[in-house]
Amino acid sequence: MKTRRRRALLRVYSPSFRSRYGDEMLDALDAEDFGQSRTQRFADDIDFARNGVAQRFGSDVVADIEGGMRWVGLVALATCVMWSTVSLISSNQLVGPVPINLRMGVLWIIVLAASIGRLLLPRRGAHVAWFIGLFAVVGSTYLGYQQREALPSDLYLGTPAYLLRWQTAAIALLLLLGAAAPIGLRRSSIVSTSLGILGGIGLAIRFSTIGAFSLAPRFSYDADGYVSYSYTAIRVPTFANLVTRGTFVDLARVDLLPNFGWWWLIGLICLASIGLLRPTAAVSAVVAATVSLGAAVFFNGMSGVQASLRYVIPTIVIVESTVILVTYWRRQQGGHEADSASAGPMNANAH
Amino acid sequence: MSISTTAFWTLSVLASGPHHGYGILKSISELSEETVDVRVGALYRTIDRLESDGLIEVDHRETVDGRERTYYRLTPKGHSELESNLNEMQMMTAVAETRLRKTSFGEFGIRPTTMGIL
Repeated sequence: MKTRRRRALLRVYSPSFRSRYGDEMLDALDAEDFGQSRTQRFADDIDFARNGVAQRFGSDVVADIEGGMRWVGLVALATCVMWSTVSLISSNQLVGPVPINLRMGVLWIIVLAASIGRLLLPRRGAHVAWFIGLFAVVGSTYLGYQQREALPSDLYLGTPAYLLRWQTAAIALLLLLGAAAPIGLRRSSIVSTSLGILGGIGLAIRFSTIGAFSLAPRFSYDADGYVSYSYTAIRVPTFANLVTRGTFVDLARVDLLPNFGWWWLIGLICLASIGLLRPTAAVSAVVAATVSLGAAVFFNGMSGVQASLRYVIPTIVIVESTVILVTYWRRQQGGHEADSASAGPMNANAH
Repeated sequence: MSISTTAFWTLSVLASGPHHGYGILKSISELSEETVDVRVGALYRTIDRLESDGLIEVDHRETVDGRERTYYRLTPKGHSELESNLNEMQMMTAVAETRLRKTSFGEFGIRPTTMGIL
């Protein structure tokens, strides 16, 4: 009984490997299935596909992907909880009913991504974090529909909302570090360090352009205090815009969706940069950059924010990733394979 | 050359005679008293690698219930590789045992049974 699902999974393996061992592997899987629960069969399928990727691209690539997914998944959960909390205590009016719903949609996607990470590497901590994240998203989704009055004090220095926005920045930093850590701790080189610096420059550009091209709140008051506020586009960057509003406040405001994409992208810059010219990391960075570019165009178009400079960073990512790919291919042609399949003694399933 | 756990077990199984892929899988499970869990994908990757390294080779093929099975056997190179890994492991085990005994008994001069009484 060679199921269609498993035949599809078999395609992950290289054609030559498939033709040599494909039928035998499927037979062996069928034999293994006898008396197994559905969950176990599902786990076997995942492992089967995972081995296919390892066979095709190398075990270390699989380890990198899994390590990266675990970090990004967990940090994304933390980000998810963070933003949900911000949504709970700060005004929905700041983002309006439509954007906040979209934001919740994105949070759900994050939870989904984290779930995949959880499936790949089930750990008790990841389970707990996932449920906390899920609870936070469900709660904030519900409250997101409950329209509340906005208070400008939300944006004042020292208020809980402001502090949480600082936390948002901190979480974003974690995202960056988290994405880089699994690979970055393993190897480094002058080239990757240089590319990391390039990512840092991109980050600086990002900071400086948020304040310059984002919406800023303008508050009106009467004798009793707060009356209303409106948004205006800031065209001229000032120190206050760049450092205060640009860096922290905007992270949790109207352009939050593109912001998330950007922070994620910067994490991927590190992932691609420090990943010792890994083609897979570069490919994922290119894909992420392209998707993010589309998302930025879409959401910027929706919110009417003039932010052409935002395209600088994905462009950097795409260029950088292309450099990585070209360098990798040249090394391949030169006969200097970077990937070392060295398995230490007794390294299970690595040979 | 150090080899992986799966490769070691595969060579060990084939040392007793030709086996086909699934037979190797079952033998590893039995010999290791189900302490080593080798998955199908990983096993065939190992077989492929061992074959390309010249440590094992195809012995014969047979068809059972319409399914073709390939039997593999150890090559002389595979035999010496297994032996060399075995020697390495024995040496490692001896070193670890010596160090462990030194720490448990030599340094403190107390045997576990004595510690239990205390």
